Amino acid sequence: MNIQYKKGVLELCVLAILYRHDCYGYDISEFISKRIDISDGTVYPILRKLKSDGMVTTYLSEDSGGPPRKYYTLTDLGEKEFLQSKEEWSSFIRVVEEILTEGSHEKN
Amino acid sequence: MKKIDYLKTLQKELNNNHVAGIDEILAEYDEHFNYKIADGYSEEEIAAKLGKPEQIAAQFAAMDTPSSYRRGNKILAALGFGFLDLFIGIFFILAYVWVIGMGVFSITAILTGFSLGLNFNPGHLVPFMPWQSAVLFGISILFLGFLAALGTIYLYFYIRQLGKAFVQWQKNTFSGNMYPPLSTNPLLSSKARRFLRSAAQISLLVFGIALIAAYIFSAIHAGNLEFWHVWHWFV
Repeated sequence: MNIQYKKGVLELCVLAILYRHDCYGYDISEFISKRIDISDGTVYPILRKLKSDGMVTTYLSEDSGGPPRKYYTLTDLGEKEFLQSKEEWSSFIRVVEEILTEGSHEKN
Repeated sequence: MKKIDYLKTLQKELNNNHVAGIDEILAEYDEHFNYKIADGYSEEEIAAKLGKPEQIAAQFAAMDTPSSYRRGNKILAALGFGFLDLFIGIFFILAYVWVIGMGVFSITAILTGFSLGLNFNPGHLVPFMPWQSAVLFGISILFLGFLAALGTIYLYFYIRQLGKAFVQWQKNTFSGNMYPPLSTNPLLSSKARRFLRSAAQISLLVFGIALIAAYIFSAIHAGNLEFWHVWHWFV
């Protein structure tokens, strides 16, 4: 698939994963690169951008005794942004689907 | 490429691209290596799957620089938008008041049309005229009311869309054109658009014909082109 398509969507995917539960960066990278054909390193710049945009924030947690892990979590703004973008994405996808499958155009 | 080489190259590339907070980024990639190594991958494999350090650094640079070097501009922009929003806000309030005014006008016109046509004259508000004139004027005003109602609906959608486009434009200025700009025309389905258009055309036509017919009939009936003088309307 064209890389230009993916770029914008990846941000939405990251937000979606974090909407379900907090994750550390590696988690998100693994989750996405198993499903979408991108290099593993691509997710980190996105996380950083989301952080600088105030969509996500990080905290340290030492759950399994090892070194503290940096967890990412959605901010209120990020949550709002996600729900809105999700809505927009769904309706956009619906229309694209319609255009792709429609045999004849509706005439104006 | 070994982990240590990968991180070194990444550091150099990030430096070249003037990316801020390099330590934090390197720590993230270091961690990535550690997890993958724990899963049994070789360092070379991991490095290959991560993507070239040059490309990664370029991605950080692309996402980083706009927001950091425009931060000053952003504050200015926010201030400017604060003032702009005040005026634009007033504009939108006025526009919506206009929509409401138009809506009231259309309802009034429709009611007037009905009361004329049905010879309903509360408090003798309607001056004398033969009933045929009243019916014709009634029809004319009724359809003027419909026309105004259709205009109100369209104007409402138009202003709503304009508001959305404005918000989008403002959001874009802050996010570095993340979103595509919105059209300023309302996105009505072609069915709705067709309906609005033909309903407006019919309303306009009936309004015009009924008005002309009412005038001609009244003028003939009163025997004067300025029939309202004959019927003492404005005294």
